[in-house]
Amino acid sequence: MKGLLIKDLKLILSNKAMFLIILVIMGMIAVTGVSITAFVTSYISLLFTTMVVTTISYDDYDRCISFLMTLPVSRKDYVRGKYVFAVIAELCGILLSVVLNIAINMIKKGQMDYNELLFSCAVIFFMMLVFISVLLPIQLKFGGEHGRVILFAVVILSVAGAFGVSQLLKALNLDLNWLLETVILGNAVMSAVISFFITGLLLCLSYAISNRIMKKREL
Amino acid sequence: MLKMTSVKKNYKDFTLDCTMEIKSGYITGLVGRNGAGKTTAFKSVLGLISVDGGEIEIFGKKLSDFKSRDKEKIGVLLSDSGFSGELKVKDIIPVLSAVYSQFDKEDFLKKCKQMKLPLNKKIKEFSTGMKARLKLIIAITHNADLLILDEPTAGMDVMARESIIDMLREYMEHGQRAILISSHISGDLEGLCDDIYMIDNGKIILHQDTDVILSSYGILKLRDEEYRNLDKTHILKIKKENFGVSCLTDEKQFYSDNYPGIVVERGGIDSVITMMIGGENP
Repeated sequence: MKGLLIKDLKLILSNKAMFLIILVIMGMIAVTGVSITAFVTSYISLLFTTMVVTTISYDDYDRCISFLMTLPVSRKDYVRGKYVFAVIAELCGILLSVVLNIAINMIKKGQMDYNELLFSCAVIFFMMLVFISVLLPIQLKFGGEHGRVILFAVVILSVAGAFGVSQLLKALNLDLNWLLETVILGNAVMSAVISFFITGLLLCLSYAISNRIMKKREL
Repeated sequence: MLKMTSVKKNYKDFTLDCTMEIKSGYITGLVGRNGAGKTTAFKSVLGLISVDGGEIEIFGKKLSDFKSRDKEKIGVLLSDSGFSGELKVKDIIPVLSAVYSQFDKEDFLKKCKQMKLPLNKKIKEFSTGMKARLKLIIAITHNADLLILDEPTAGMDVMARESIIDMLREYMEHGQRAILISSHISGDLEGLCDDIYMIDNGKIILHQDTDVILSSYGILKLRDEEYRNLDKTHILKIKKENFGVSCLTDEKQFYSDNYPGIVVERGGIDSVITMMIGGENP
């Protein structure tokens, strides 16, 4: 798996244009001084997490994956490598966004709300794990290019579904704000533990599905 | 070293049914037209596709029991696949060091220099010949005992093909090794292989030592009357021609001795495969 991770890292580093885009976006955020911590954190984390899609696209392009599977690595190693890469990239994204948030704050000479930053990072961390859990089986099943389209459809459907549920709750006159305020925000530690277990479970399920997809894949 | 016994793979309009053996110390060639089943046979051996029947053994171990570590002893070249073109040669060195415990970095760098492969250039900018040479260097620099090479000379000019063949000859000089190689350029295989398997429509239609093909096989060019009077004991295939009949024989000396008047041409791999595929039974 180590060899595959090195290969993925080299692939990402070879894509200079992507890093240029990240730098430009970061520069724009710093210059304009956007103070929405959650936005900065989520945007950069998302950018880093989706790097794994780029590596899968490269592996699929020109059927490189066939050759990779003739190396002394197993299909399980390949899947594990993608999950490890995605999580490491996500953590790097979050770390970078923390640094950026602090930097913006220092430029603006404002008062840093570390609680908000920590909360944003925790929420984004778990959300990205959910995203990885959905993303990887789709990418491995449908390939880098088709996977993007299907992923887009999944996101649209999820947003539409969430909107539908919120409209339904409104129509039924159910207010769930108390749930957010008292249960989640009121019990930060408990919420983190529950989130940890739910996302962990989802990630394990996703990993098992990805392994099954790779095992059956004809290369 | 490698044994395929009645290996079957069914597609909608194609079925592979292949039995082959690659012995230690041998370079074995697999020849056939495009779409004959060469790549499917290779992919079956490498576990890249599932098979519907039969058995594959490598180094005496069933493919189903083959662990990823066992693949260290195999060097693979696929004509249509390799490392991503976005990578440079210097990028793949740490990857190979990480996956192969016996990767010889010095030898790799030496061979890249010999073959004039720049370390700092993206692989996608390489010519077809350079890409093939790089793939071969990757396959032979981790002390593999068996090479599986699918069309290593495809799309290359004569000089580039020669350099590949020289590297393969050099590889065979060390220890008990074996090579399974496919090509549709039969000239490459005639001078390199110890034995040849011919495949058509998913089936092995001939297996013979290369020396025997070159020395004993031949094409007889006969008028209809000559054909009628011919002893057909050693005729494998016939084909109607404008002048009469072409016959493929595996005993050309017999016909040269007993029928001094007839034309007997040398049987190269190309002519043998053409007759085996396009000819009829006598």
